[in-house]
Amino acid sequence: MFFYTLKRLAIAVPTFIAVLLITFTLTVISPFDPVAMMMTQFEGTLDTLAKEEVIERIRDQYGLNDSYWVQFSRWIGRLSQGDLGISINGQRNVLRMIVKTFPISFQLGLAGAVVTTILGIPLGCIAALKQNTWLDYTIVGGTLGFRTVPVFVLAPLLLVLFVLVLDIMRVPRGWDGLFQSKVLLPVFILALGPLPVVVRQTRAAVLEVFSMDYVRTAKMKGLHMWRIILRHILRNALIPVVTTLGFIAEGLIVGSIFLDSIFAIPGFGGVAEAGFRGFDYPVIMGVTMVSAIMIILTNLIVDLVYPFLDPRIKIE
Amino acid sequence: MKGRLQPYLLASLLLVLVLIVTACAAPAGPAASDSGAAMADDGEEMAGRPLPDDAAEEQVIRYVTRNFSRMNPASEGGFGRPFVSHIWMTLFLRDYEHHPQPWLATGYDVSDDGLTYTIHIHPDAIWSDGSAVTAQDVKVYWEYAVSPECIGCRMFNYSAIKLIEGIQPVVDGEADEISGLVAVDDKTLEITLVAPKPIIIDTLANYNTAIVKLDDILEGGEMWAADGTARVNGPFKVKVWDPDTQEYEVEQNPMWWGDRKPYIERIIGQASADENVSFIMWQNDEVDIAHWLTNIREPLRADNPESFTLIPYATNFFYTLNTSLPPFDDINVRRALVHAVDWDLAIEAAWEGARSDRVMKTHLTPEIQCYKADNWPDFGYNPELAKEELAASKYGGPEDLPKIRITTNGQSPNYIRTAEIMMEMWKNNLGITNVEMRPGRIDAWGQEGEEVQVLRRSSGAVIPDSGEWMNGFYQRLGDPARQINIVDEDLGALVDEMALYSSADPEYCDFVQEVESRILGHYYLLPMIWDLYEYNTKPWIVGFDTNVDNNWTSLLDMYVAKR
Repeated sequence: MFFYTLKRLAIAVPTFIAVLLITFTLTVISPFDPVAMMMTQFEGTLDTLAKEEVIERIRDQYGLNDSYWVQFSRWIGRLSQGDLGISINGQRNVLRMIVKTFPISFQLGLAGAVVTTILGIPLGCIAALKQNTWLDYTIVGGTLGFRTVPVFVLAPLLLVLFVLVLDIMRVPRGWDGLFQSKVLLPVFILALGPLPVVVRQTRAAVLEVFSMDYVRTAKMKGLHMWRIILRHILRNALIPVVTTLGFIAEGLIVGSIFLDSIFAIPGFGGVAEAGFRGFDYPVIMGVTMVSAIMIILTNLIVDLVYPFLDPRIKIE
Repeated sequence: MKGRLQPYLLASLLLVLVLIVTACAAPAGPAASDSGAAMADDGEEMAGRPLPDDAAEEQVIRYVTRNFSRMNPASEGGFGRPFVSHIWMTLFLRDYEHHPQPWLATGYDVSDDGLTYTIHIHPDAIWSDGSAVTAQDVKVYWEYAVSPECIGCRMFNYSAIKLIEGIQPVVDGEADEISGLVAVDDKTLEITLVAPKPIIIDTLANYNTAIVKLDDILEGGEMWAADGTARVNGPFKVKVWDPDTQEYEVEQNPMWWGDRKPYIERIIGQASADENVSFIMWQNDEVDIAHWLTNIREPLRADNPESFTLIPYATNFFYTLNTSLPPFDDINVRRALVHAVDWDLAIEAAWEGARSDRVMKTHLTPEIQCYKADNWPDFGYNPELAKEELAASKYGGPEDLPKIRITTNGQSPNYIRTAEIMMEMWKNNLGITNVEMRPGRIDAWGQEGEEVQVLRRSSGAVIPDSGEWMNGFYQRLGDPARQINIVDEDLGALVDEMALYSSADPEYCDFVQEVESRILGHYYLLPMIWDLYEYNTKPWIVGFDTNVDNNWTSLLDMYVAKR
């Protein structure tokens, strides 16, 4: 397994470099000017004539008027020293932005994945056991229905319900740590996204295992239904589900853009959103780098965990 | 069986462990302690100011807006402006009528030739560490603020600043000192200009010229103003201002040296990119002051109009016509296209009633000096006149007009709808159909970008001087880079003459209005709106006011009343 891990990491290096190269190239050759994008916030308060002079000056200050290769070699040079540069839009250190925000998104993403698991697996199981009944349709259709409502619609609607109609909470904002009540709503909304995937996958897997001989044998032995489900069905049905959860958690960690924005959570999604919105290439590069590392590591971890879940699989 | 359960147990335990460890390692919320207190405690606090009878016990303002940037007066242009000049003071502070009032400076003298300004810094002015604010502080900070070292800073670009003697080599990074800035003594700064420019004092009331202790920037790095350790000279100081953690809070400066101590103890900034959410906060009374940019405020306008306070920005949004390209090289076409559109109706529809009173009928907005309604010659909806003008053009009618290309320069639905309405009215009133509009930036046209003749633009008077603003528009007329190629020598002479007058001269407005009328007479634009920026305040916020710089000028006297 050690050599397998080393081999996988070695393969990941060129992939990682290719991702960075492609992202950098696309960002630099794109027609959008990050400085001009930044200056849109001053629209109406800075005369257009003055604005262009300011833009040119700031472009010079960030070296954006240099050639592609000069910019790329400068970026690589900084990267080799652990410096991801300064964000053009926010004039902030990109590495520090990521270091500050990533742990928050990491916790939120994991919490979301845990909630998805806690809700999704039992619901999927119930849907399978009650296949083609109203309960099955309600669970599958309901979770899918929530999924189809975009976060930026669902979150304000839930806020109107909880804050203005029921008057049971204030608008949860910011971040004071994971174990705070203000995190409940964001985590719940975050968990709703991948919930139908887990529900449907669990349902399909349970249905498949349900028709296996060993389940029939267990039934004939007179075992209680819940014992059969927990010991014989779920343990086998959940292998593909658990591997999927790795990717779900990764997606939740780096993909909570709207949620960060709505609940003012200083997370990684907000950094990514600000970077892409402003074509702020140091931020885009930093975000891409972290996301690429997350995807590569998640793939690796899932591969390494798989044999533990299913002893029939061996890593070679 | 027991052995097979182990991987699951291990995985679960690992997950829980990771959650706990990361939860402990993550940055916590705002600390209760005052990180900047140690510095301030060295000095003597000023006496408190008794609260008005109807004041609430807690004098805290919760202010919500779209976003905050890093706190830095030299590069500020966003939503930190309301109180940045109350943290790092400008020499002068503009009132609601745009007049600079004493602030860090008590006043100034100007030489007879109008070239030398002697600024008197307040004798009591001190930094929050107790040291005196000196003219040398101002000089060294400005020398940094205009230099290339100051990333994203804008002070170098103000027209009056450009006229300070010896500034250009510093702006270009070729020198360190500005010869036209002399610290005569601790409290006297002499500014020498190379040509008279009365608006220098107006410029020194702009937040971008506020005075910061240079050492704090040089020693504090890029986040020098994030944690309250930076020295301030105003009535407020930063408690925390960190865009990374989205914590924004300012509090009273215990070392504030002014006669009046503010009532407000703290201002908590709440950034909310989603205005639907900030509106819910408003409805739930979680917000005292709000600044919205979208039509989210329109439902409020009907129900609660008294909550609005206009920011007296001088801002125009319009489409310019590229007079270098056909058919806009012919003024009759330009006039016809303006006269063929019912602008009141168009803006009413495009902005869904939110800007009906702000249809741009002149460059000068009603809030700025010298504004004169109907100063645009022949402006107004007149389809018959439009037909005659199109017929009188060298194209003779709609059939031979080259294709008109429009770029909205942004994705705002208001701009897009305005363009669609213009196109519809041109079709109905003039029979012009060969028009295409593409939302977004000019890049949306690809190879055809250079053929775009109609481009959405904006203009704002950063220094609210109407003559200066008109001068800017005049420069635009003859600037090929702006794709407007109108030569008007008489207008040039008029602008030169206007520059000799200060805004206090009785003839000043006559010149400004004449210049504006002549500029608009060239019909180089399709008007949209004088924009409308407003604050919404809850009824318990007393004495709120704001100036053209979006600075809460009345902050020293504002207070929170009992609800």
